[in-house]
Amino acid sequence: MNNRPNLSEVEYLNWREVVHDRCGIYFTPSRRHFLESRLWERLQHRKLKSYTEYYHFVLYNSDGDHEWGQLLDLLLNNESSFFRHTPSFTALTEHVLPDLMQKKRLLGINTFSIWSAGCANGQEAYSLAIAFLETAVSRQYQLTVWGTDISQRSLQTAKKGIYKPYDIRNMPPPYLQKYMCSTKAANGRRMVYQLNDTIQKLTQFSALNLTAPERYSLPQQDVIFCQNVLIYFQPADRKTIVERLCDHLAPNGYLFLAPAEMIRLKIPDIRQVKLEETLIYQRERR
Amino acid sequence: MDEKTGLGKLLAPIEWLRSHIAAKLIFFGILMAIIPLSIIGSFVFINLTNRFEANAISSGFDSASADGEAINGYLENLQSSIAYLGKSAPMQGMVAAKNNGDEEIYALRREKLAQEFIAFSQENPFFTQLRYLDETGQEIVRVDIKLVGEEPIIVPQEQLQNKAGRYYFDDTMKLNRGEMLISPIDLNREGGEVEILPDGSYRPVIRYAVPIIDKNGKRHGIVLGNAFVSTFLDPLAETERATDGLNKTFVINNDGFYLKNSAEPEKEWGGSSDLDTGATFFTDYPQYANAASGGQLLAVSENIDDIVIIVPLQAGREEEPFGAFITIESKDTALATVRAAQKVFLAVLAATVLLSIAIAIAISRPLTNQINKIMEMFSMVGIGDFDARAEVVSQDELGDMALSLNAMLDNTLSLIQSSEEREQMQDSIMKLLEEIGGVADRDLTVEAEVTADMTGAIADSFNIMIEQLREIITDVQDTTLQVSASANEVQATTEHLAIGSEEQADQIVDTSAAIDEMAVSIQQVSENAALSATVGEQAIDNARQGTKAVAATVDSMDRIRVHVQETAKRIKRLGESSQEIGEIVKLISDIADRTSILALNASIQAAMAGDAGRGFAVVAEEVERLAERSTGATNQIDTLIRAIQNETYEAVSAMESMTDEVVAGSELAENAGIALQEIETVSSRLGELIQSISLAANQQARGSETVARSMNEIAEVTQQTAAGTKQAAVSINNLSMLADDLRNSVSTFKLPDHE
Repeated sequence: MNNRPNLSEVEYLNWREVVHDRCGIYFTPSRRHFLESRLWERLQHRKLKSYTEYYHFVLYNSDGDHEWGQLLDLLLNNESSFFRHTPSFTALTEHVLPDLMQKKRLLGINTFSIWSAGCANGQEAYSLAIAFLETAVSRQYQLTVWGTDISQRSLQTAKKGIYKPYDIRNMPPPYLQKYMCSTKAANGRRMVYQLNDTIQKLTQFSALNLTAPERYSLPQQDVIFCQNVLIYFQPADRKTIVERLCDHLAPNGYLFLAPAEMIRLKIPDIRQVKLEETLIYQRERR
Repeated sequence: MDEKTGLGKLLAPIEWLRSHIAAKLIFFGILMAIIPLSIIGSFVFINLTNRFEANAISSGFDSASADGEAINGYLENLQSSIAYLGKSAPMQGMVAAKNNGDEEIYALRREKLAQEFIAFSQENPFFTQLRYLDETGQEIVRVDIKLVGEEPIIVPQEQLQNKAGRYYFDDTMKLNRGEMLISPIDLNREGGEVEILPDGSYRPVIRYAVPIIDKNGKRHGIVLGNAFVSTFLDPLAETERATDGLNKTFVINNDGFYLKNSAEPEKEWGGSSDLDTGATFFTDYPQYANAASGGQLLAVSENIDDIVIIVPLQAGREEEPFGAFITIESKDTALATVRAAQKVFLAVLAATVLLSIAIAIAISRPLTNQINKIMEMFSMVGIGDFDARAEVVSQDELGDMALSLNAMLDNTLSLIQSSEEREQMQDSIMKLLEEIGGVADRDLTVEAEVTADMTGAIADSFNIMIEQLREIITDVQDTTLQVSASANEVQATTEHLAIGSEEQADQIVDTSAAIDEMAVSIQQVSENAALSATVGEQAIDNARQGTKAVAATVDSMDRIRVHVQETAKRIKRLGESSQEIGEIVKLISDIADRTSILALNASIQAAMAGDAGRGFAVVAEEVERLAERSTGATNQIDTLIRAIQNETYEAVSAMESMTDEVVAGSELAENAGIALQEIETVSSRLGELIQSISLAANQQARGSETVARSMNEIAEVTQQTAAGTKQAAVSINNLSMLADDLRNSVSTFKLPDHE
């Protein structure tokens, strides 16, 4: 059934370089098979014969940029779920948000900015908004949750705010009742869940390439979540991205990574916050 | 009478023509052949020659300009190929790597450029050589293709040469971005000599080269392609036009030298840079020289003997013509066909006329014969003889007509006898038809009456047939009901299945994404573990070095202790020596005391001696003074010795306590050494643990990679299964609808109520 030809060494190296140059994702030899299967799907769709022919199509054809977008949607792993890494959310609601709110109250600031960097289909951004609303005195603040991703398809899904039962498997039932309503899917057969307006109007989704050289077009953030994104990059790129994310932290702001994503990070004014089973950094006030 | 006879004689053929069908047919046949042939013939005679001449010119013109365009197209292709390679991604990458000074990437890109050249020359087999030369003229990448169709070869680096000083390199390096060097077509030279191939032919080449200039305007050498010229020159000599010997084809350059001469190949390449024979088109064909050097697409035919076609050639788009492609065809050859056609046409015309006369005669003979026989038969019937029959003498329609007329006469006789029987039969048939008429309206309840006459048998078998039909229709109705019911059931099940497998497919896609992310994440852990292992090894190294340092410290402390004890002993000995000095000083002091007493005695003795002892008294006084000074000095020495002894004692006791401290210090250092050894042991144990974690994580990474891979495949299969199930649901739905249709169509049959 599977008559897909193998990706040759030269083709693999060429594709790895192009993908890395354009979006930063680095396909290690262990994910070569993943790359191959996605390329094959797209080149068949374009009715082309070989990986090289497809390579030339993407690079030189007038329709190549559009095709690149389609391919990129397939190359990205959009795995995510609501409240995915429980210890990080516990740390957020029990330690980070109360701390920030107390400091803001003293300074008389009432705006709050949270960024989900690499938001995939939006579950993380919406989870952050819900977690914020569930934190006791949150009603006094005006919150914006920014969700950014490189994939246009993911951003569209995120903006819709409609999810399959599998997507909401980690959602605590009270929140489900409070912030979502179940409805029939557009094709009329399956049950899907739609987020309330209350949550949706707190979020802003936009396209952003974390490895692009230009400055990120977002304001300073109180909290940045960037989990299970860095693992797809090379160590040197990871370090650069974390430095740039830290650069976007407001004074006292917190950066949440997934455990084991970064070791031995040394940036001036950035210290690690030791909370159980988490990897959190904080900008010390300047 | 004479006159009438004469007139009669004159009119006889016309009279014969009017009264005989055969004569009419012959006359008509001849006219039919001659009239169109004469019209067409005269038209052809008038137009054919002119048209053929015009056609010969225009078809020669078409094919020559097609050949010319093919050459121009080929060259244009070469031009755009080199322009593409100059701008290709690997070329740009090489320039970028060079600017960055990254030698490793530069080497990698050079490999890629060579691969690009290989791939390119396989796709576009016009080049005999593709090269990239850097700004010093050194060949960096070179791909050779010895002969058309052979595999390209990457020339190994040690065989690459420096080409600085060659015109193609120097001239190209002076060009601006976007400009191209196109060489004249000449014979390839190897080591200064014209290259002769194994088969005795030459290797003409044309070179295309572009400079490589980066976005800062810095030059990085050139990309150069040598192309096969034989590829387009050789086929020209082998075309039909060229090989019949009467036509000649030439390719000349702007100086008139032949690049190709189909008539006299020995005159090719006469230019001074090639074979230098001096033979040119302009001297061989002075009458066409003006036209050929004009550079215009031309057909020359004013000359009475030849048709000459000249097509200018360009080495690339928007380039000036470098020469021309010329065909010369003699008019005799071109129009030979027309003349032959004229002769054939006349012969065909004569043959056709003769043939048409012969056919007309052959057809008319039997025709009139048969008609005469029929006419005879009719005359006999006309006088009441119904037994008269026409003799059949031909096999055509007239023969058939005679046979039918005979049969008609036979039937007419028998019809007259059986008309009464026929009426009776008609009545019974009408009755039967009425009885079974309902079947036509799908009424299967009817039955026909079985009578004794001839229709009775028909009615009986008709009733049996209706009975069978009833059974079949009943069966069909029952079966379609069952099919419809079970199809509905299966449809419902399949739809359920389809939804299920679609959900499953989605779920598997999600799961497969989750597993892929897990695999990447495990990879990350494995990398971290590997890093920890390195750090652990550093710790072991450090501990080991610490242990060594401590051991060295203990050693040197030991040595200090020994030295200090030795020194203490020596100082003690000094103290003892000073005591001996004290005793000696005491002795001296005693001697001084005695001397003082002796001096007193001496002065008493001197006083007793009176004046004689006065001098002696002075001596005694001096001795007395010396003794006193000796006593003072010994007292000072005694004080000094006491001080020395005190300090010696303090030094010794300080040294003793120091020795104690050194001993205690080296004990501490030894403890530190033991602790460090323990750290080393723990660290290496830790290292082993991390190593095993790293190994396990690695194994997990590999395992999860396999799982991710399998999940990917499962996802693909499941997606197809879902699609298949959906398709099955649709098919079953169709089946159910078909069963319903079938039931509807048989339900219109009306069946008896019982059963």
